[in-house]
Amino acid sequence: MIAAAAETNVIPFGAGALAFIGLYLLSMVWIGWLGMRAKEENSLRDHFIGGSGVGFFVLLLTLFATQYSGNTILGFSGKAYRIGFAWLTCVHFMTTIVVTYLLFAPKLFKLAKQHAFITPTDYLAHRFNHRGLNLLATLIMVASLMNFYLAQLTAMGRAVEGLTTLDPETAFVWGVVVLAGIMLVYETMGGFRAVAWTDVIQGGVLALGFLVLLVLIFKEYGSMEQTTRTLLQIAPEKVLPPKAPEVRSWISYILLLGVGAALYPQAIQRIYAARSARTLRKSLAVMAFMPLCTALVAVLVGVTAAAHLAGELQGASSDAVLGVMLRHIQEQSTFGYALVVLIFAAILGAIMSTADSTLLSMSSMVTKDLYMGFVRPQASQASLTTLGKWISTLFVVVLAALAIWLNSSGTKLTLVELLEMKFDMLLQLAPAFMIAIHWQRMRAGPVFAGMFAGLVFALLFFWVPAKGDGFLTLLKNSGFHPGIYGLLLNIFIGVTGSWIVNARSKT
Amino acid sequence: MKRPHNYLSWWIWIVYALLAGISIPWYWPAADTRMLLGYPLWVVVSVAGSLAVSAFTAWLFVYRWPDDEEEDEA
Repeated sequence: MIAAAAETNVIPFGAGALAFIGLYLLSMVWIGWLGMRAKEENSLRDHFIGGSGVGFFVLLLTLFATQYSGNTILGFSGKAYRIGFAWLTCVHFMTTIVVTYLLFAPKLFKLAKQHAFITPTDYLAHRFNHRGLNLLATLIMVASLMNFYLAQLTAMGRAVEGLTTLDPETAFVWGVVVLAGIMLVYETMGGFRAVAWTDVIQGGVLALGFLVLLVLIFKEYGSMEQTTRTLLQIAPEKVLPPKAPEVRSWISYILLLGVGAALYPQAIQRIYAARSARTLRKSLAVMAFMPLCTALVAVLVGVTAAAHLAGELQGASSDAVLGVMLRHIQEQSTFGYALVVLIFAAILGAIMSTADSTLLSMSSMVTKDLYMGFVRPQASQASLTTLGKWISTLFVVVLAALAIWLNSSGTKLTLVELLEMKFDMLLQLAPAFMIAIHWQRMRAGPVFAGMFAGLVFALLFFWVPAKGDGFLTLLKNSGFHPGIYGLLLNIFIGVTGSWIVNARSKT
Repeated sequence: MKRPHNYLSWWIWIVYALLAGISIPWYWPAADTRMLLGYPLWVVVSVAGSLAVSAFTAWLFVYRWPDDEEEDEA
């Protein structure tokens, strides 16, 4: 489902490079074993949140590695290649994610510590005590994460295509099976600790990878002035300021992804996992600057490619733009080859660190919110933890098989299009988290009705025809994502419904 | 520095609105080709706006986050 990715263009790695990648992957299994040894008790909170939580350094790198996926490097550079500097919007929406935490993280963190929350639904259950709302919110989050996890699995397969002498389809299967298998092993052993600790390595390599990438593009393709002037001549639309419809698209992206991604369950669980408020606020303060060190670099890569590799890639395959650039660097020197291996390790780390957090989060919600919440409320902590590991295994097997099948069936979408779909759904959680945490008179019934109506309305837009004079067609073509309209309806129902219920209960 | 209980004051959102107004390139002439430091001028302004948002947000997290103790007292 994802466009041909970077590494299809890289020259197959030699034994030394493959051994380095192998050691890198084995180190993650070792960390999983360390996480298992550090286990304090056989409980859901210990497995899914890491018991008493993690300190500043680990929290920062797990927030970083989880938030920045393979898509940040491959998808963002590909989109900047296609639309030019206008994709600078990605820097803004990645920053907005951190700004959005201001709205609810301080209060949510305090509640999480007081009531030992494990999943995002634990907060909703505590705040609203409404089973319908718990179920709907959990289903929205699990569905969104399944979509996201599938994308990461596919990215894993794509990442290893072309790296070996195997044919691409076989390499894809091996990539998915081996990488997902390694992830499952360390996650099953060490739970949240293993995921967070591997994020330290993966996040560190990712940060280093972005730095190397930034240096390489300037060294390889000359100054930015040269790039900008070349683009002005061959594709001026990629340099000129965005026009009105594109500006609307900027605002929509900033709202949709900035707010939606802050509501990722794995991100919320990292708020719970902070050892102290001081740890959390310092980590988030550093995270506020990360888009300038990552998303901005990806935009510069894409824009540089647009100026110097014009015409080599088109449409969906433009997600492979980084691969073409890496190949050029790889061919030049042994040092260049070594740097490409490092960047490849960074890409793998970005994909795996996002995928493992997603998997753990999905498993925690199915175990705690669905099984314990609706099937066996009296189940023991030990049996639930074991079940959580089996659910992780089931997710890996089913979604890996689906990723392999989708790849062999030849269905293609670009990474960015895939990314967009789930945010329309996740955004509908915003009133329950961001308004209700401050407004104690917001009522459960209206919040549930608003979330349901917003979700249905947003999803209906996919069937609204793109051509015609109808009102919905007009909205669809306005440049704003369907989830934004769904959210407006959602807020309207949630807020006015709460006012009406409160007014009635007074009389 | 003592952190306030009401950490989300109205003026914070005014600052964010102003920074968003600067960062989102809605006000540039369509054919503007001016450059600064090798980048299109609107890109430099937009990135500078983003940097300001990051710095302001980091400041809010560090100095305006309600401390547990202070919240408990409030």
